[in-house]
Amino acid sequence: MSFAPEKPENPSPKKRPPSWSDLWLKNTKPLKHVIFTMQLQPLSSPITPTTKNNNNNNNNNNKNTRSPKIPKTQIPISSFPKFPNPNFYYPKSESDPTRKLSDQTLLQILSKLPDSNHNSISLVCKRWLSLQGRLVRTLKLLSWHFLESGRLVFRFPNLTHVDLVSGCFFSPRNSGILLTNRVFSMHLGSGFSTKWNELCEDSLFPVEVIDRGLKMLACGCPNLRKVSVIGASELGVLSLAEECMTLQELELHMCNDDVLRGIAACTNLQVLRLVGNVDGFYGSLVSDIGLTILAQGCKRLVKLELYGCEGSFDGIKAIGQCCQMLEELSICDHRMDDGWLAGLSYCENLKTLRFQSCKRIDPSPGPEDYLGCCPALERLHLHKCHLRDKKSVGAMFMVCGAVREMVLQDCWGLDNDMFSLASCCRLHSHPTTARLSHKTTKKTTSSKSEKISLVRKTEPSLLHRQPKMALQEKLDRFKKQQEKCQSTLTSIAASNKATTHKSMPVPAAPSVARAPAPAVKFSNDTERLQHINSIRKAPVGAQMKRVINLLLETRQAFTPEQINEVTSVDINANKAVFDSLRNNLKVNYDGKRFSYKSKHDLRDKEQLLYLIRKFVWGIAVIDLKDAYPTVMEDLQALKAAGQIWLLSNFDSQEDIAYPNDPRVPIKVDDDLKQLFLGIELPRDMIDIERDLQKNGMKPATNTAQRRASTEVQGMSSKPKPKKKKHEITKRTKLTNAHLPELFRHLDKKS
Amino acid sequence: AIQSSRFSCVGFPLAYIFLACKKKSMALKLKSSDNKIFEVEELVAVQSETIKSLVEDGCANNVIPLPNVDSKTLELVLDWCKNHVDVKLDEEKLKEYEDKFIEVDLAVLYDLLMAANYLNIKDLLNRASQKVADMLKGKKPEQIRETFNIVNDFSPEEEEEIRKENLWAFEE
Repeated sequence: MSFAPEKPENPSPKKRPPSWSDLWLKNTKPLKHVIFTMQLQPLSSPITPTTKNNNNNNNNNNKNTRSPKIPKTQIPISSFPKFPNPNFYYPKSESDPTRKLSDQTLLQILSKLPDSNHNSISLVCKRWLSLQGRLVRTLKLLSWHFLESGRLVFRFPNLTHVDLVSGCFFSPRNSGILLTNRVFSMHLGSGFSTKWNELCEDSLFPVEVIDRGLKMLACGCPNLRKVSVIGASELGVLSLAEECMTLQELELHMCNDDVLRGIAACTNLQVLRLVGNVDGFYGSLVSDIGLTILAQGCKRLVKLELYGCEGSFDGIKAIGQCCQMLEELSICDHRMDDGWLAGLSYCENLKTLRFQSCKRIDPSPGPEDYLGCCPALERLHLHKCHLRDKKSVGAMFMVCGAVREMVLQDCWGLDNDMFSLASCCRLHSHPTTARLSHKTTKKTTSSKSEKISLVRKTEPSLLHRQPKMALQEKLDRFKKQQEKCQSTLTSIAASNKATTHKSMPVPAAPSVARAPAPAVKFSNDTERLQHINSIRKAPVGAQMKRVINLLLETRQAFTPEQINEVTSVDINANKAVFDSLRNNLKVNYDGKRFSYKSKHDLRDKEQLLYLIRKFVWGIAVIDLKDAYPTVMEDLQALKAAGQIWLLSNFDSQEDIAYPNDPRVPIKVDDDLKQLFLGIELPRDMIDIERDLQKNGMKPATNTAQRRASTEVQGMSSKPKPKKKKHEITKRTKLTNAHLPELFRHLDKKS
Repeated sequence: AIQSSRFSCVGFPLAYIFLACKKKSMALKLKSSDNKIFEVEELVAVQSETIKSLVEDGCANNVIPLPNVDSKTLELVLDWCKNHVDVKLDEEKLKEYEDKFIEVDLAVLYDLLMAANYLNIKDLLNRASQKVADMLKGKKPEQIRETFNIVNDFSPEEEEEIRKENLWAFEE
């Protein structure tokens, strides 16, 4: 061969294009710098534990999902794990009987213990320490050093759910001062600065440290499913994406647009929580740019929560258009630009929409025509939101027009008008509207006492900054508002009955209005002529079908002229039809008349019985069906009289008729009868299999295993897809339109 | 209709009759590590997956040697198997039996565990390891070491380190 294609020297077996990090690293100067410093790191550390980790990974025989991937990159590590792998040499004490037990057996024993025993089990001996570590799946890290030193991934190689957030701070855990918000909490040392906004960022580890930790975690635990982290950069997220192919859930605190560039590499991500700005703790910017990158990368998102994110119509629209599987969207404390609400209508499969702690919804949502509507929306949850602005609430209800369930909990500013705005939802979904107002009333009344405590809970910084007087004022305002609320609610309760009446549709009216008599355009005669013309122009097969149907129904002999009269098929004029009819198996032609020819020439019951008696081995009912019009009734009558049997077997769907010959009595031994009746058939497949096994036969199915596997995977046996109904709708592509007979029965139905 | 349905399923029970006649005829010979020979019905023995695969491969014609199980343990295990052959035995009785069966001292329990592991008898292994787990539950490391006669191979510093790590990883 003259042409030898260049082969890549090292074909990489990875599915993911290896260019992710290259891609980002090429364009970004500052990133290069970071990478450079990271590369310097391993040179300074004396030994890398990569081989140790591999050893450890290979020993895992109880890996739950897939074989461990050997980390390609060497992990920078500051201190080398001090203990050698205990599987290889534990002290040879003859008295210790647990030594005789295999790892697998011991693991099985340990796996039966509750989590509270982790601590004591790991302290028993080295072997138990390592075995117990293999069983740990979920972990909440409290000290970054544990991860940095490599001990974490060494001890717990099978982790799937890791929460790193609390470990990302270097503040003391036992300080006794806890600064907390609903989404986020941190411990404070006694010497904290008074600048609240910087406090969080001050006590957070630098980005490089966190990225390095993430990389170590990703390399050490390739089975990660869920990770929560704060203050990482795109490099850290990228290493997660590259090493952990099964990563499904991610929670990113202090997230910004740059970080989202890394997330886009996690193509299998399904659940994502982005926390951009938390009042009083930190502020980082998630904007349209980030949302668009996210949307392009993570197309399999099912759940998305945006906390304190900026952005606008474009970002939401991008998410709606790219993430087709998105079912749940939560918007918390948002800072979106006005007009963003219209973007929601692009989320076509959205089922649940949540607003939480939103100070505003969308003050200027734009003209109603552009708002659109989420077509699949089922639930709308409003929790601790300000709903004073009528315009935005109205627009929100418009977008959520298809909603079936609405929950309002601890919301401000609800009055009569607001509830009347919700009536636009009623137009689309009738069954739950009555429940809606009830629910609202209940929720609002029940939550009155919570409202006051709410302020204290959610805004710790506010509490510190504002003097007591201001708080008192606020409380008073609340009380006033609640009184107002109360009056509103009573009025609603009073008008409730009226509204339910209104929403009830009149059942009979639409059907009356919908069926106007079709206008008559042609005279009857013209119509008839057109009909005849269409029949005569139809293909030979169609014309023959009409004729044979006629012959079958009437069972009389017709001359061609008579046939022409009844079916409008002119046999004499059309040679092809004539020839085909004459040669047809089901048509008898005596030179003048056509008549139907059934398979067996029978006239009545007597002849039928005679025929069946001739076929001792049975004759298929389908062959008898067209003998004469009442043949089926006669068959049943004969069966009832005990003269024939109608039996079915597995080979044919139709019954087979057998003669019942009284001369051949079959004697069955009482023993055999008893035996036959006494056999108890197992009802369950498992019992059948067990019996087979007992008798040394191998069953082809394994029901127990199959059931167990469906249980484990949570894949309940899917209902089989329903058979498609062959009905003609507007969208059906019509074929064989030249045979109007085929569609006749469809017309009748409609 | 009744007639026809009875005819159509007549093949299945006949196969059952045939199978029923065939069973109970086979007996297997098991040899323990101390060369004692146990003769058991095949039905009893095949609860062990290990023996079952031997039987399926046709290696069970002569004596089956079980070099990892001594006669005392094998007797216990076979007793367990005999009581678990009859599927119809009601739950309560079976549980009572299991509870009584598993009340043995630690050395025997170990032997049972190993035998169950070697012979691959799932429910016995499960029950025995549950028994051990119950003994571990809620105990301090020192107590566990004492009960199971395990030597502490940690240096004091290492132990301290692990204590600290546990604090970092498991919230209590």
